[in-house]
Amino acid sequence: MAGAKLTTCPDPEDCFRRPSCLPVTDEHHVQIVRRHALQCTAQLGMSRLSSHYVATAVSELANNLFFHTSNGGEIRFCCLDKAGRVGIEIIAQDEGPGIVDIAAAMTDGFSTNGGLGAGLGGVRRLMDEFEISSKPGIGTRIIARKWLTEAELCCDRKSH
Amino acid sequence: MTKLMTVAELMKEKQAEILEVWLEVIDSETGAGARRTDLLMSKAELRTEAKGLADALTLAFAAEDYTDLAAPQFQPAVLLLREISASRARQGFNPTETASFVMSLKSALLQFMQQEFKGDQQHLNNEMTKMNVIIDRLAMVTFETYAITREEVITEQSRSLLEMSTPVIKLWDGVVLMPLVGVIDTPRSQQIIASLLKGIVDYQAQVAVLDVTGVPMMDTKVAQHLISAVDASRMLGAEVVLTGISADAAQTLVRLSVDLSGMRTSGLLKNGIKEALSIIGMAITSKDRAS
Ligand SMILES: Nc1ncnc2c1ncn2[C@@H]1O[C@H](COP(=O)(O)OP(=O)(O)O)[C@@H](O)[C@H]1O
Ligand SMILES: [Mg+2]
Repeated sequence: MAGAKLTTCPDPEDCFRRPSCLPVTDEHHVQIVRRHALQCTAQLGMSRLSSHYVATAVSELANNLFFHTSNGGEIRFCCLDKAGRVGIEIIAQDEGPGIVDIAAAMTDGFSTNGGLGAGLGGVRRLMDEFEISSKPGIGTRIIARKWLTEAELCCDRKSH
Repeated sequence: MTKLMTVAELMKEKQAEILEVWLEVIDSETGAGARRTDLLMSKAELRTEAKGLADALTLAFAAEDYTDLAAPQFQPAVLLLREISASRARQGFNPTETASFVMSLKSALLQFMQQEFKGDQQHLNNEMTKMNVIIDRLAMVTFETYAITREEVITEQSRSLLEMSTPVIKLWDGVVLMPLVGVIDTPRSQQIIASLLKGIVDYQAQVAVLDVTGVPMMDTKVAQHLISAVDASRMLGAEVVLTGISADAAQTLVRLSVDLSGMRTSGLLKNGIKEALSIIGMAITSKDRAS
């Protein structure tokens, strides 16, 4: 069961310095992870528009956890700090039914339950990097990253 | 040596005195809890509750197996405590205040037990253990009920907030406005569509202005809900003008490749109202000072 082993946000003030992992097993969890994403991007000093993109991507991934699996899943937030580049990493993971045809699922307009079908493609366009792996019957893992731009980097960076 | 009483017999025989001491303990508890208890309920109410519980506990203490709360002897006490905890949760007591009601019986009973069983330490220990186990378990029942009731209260509150937050306002003959504030999830979207359709029918509206200025984010689910709202309104013959999409949201919708071109959209509420009026053949013009 995905719900049991999850930790909740340890400390909303410092939610980003340590990687945090939030459960999505109910529709209202979507709002919790969306707000958490905004706290993280604020700590990184990301611009308002980029933060909006990240929060929307998180919302899409969280909605998929809720609407396309029966037990939900979790979203992990990590702060990236590699070779002078700073960013946010979002990992959405579940032990749900998995995706049989990933290429089809990525296509805009494809939905198996009457959705708009633009979520996965949208996440790819909203974020800088996107990786998806899925095995039918095992589950799905999606990793998405967004990096701070040079301009965002040099102004106020609160963490580090 | 005569056979010593059990705690159940003690409770039965000295119930009136124990009740007085118990009420004193509740009263003397120095924390803010006792003072709040005074504020939130009358002494007479408290006495009635305590008396009822003392009766039920007399029966409970007599149970053969005192570790089994499912036993019939416990049922009156459990039911009563559930009722009491639920009403306290609704009255605004905090969980500690709620549980301390039954917990404070411990120190009252202990005074009597020490007095009554002072000759036999072993007996005192046995009966004390039994009393502790029973009261602790009953305290758990109060906690559980308290938590369940608070959850119900929260659900009820959010449901009424939901209704409050989807008003339909008549702007002009045939024009209604629905300002949306907050998160639009599945239950909320159903509420919104229901209110919107009712507003359109009630006011015989030809145009509805749906303002999303207060909606924090537009993802594909929110967009889908809005599209459903527009489709449903059109079935009733009303056009929808969507206003208040922020610049951030507009750029995000482009990246999501959500196509709202089938809808009439307007950035500002002001322009939306203008458009709505033009649909019904009206316009706002400045007053002609010359005439
Ligand atoms: N976590 C997941 N587990 C299983 N299937 C998924 C998951 N996420 C997405 N999918 C599949 O990919 C399809 C496309 O997803 P998406 O682009 O978000 O559109 P939508 O959610 O509107 O259907 C979904 O309809 C579903 O079949
Ligand atoms: Mg989706």
